[in-house]
Amino acid sequence: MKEVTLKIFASLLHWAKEPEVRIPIEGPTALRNLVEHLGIPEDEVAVVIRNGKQVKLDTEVTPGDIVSLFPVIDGG
Amino acid sequence: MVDGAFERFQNDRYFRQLILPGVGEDGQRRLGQAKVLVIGTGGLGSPILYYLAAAGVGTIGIVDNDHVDITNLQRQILHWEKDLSRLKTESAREKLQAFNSTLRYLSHATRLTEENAEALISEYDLVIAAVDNREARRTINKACYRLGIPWIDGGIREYIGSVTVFLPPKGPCYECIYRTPALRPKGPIPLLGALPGAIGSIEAIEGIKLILSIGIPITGRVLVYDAWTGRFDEFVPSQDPNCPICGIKVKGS
Repeated sequence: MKEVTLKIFASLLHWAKEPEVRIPIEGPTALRNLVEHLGIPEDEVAVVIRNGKQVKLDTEVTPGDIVSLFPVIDGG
Repeated sequence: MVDGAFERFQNDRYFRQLILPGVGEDGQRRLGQAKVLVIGTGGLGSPILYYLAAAGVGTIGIVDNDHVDITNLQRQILHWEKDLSRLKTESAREKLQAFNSTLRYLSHATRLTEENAEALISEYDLVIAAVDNREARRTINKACYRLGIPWIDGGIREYIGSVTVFLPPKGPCYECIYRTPALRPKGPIPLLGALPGAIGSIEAIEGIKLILSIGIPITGRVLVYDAWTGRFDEFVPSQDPNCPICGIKVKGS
């Protein structure tokens, strides 16, 4: 099945509930819509990684992509 | 100590790294001559300061304007019950002095600001950040890129932590990675106490590597440790060509 894997970290799990979510997609899909689908407020997302490289939230994902979503990691 | 006794004491003290490829006597001298500024003496600052002192980093600057609070003790292992309400720089300095009395510790009981950052940082060869907010990191980033001084960042939250090394004028810099206006956490950040131990130790390791010019620094990539799943991962941060801090220099290079 064609799908995108979203990995969700730390406080973003308050919305997504599961640390790894696989979402079926047919073709290129706006990442922002998937984040919205999970109920994560987009201003809580500080860093987006697609296949190991940092991208912006307004990027498109394709089937097979692995995307990681991080909040601000600014504690010390 | 009698003649030669101090040298023998030092040789014994650092014996395990004197026999380490990449360190040796020459490396030990470099460590002894190094001046490192550690900004923050909390969860990350504790292991960073302990390990820099253990390794024999000759001059260690300590910046913090905070006082020790009971809620700190769960992770800030430089500070003990007897230190409650004391200035963190004083508490830290006392422990470090007792731990390795042969080094120079310079306390700066002040808050790092846009105004004092450059003057403070310019006295050192390397900055290791152990701060608890994004504004302080942005201030450090700006000052270090202006001065051309390398800096190491570590951050923690809940069960995850990250480390990266910035080597000005090379980007991407901190500003490139965190351009998005993501919300600041509301209230205290939940934290597993041992997590800053892991992340701060990696920051100290990266600092020692830079001083010795050995190994491969974590630069141009961000190392992420997820304690929940027990996994290390890394990603390549994007470089912003229009970054106000490192963008112009990048275009010029």
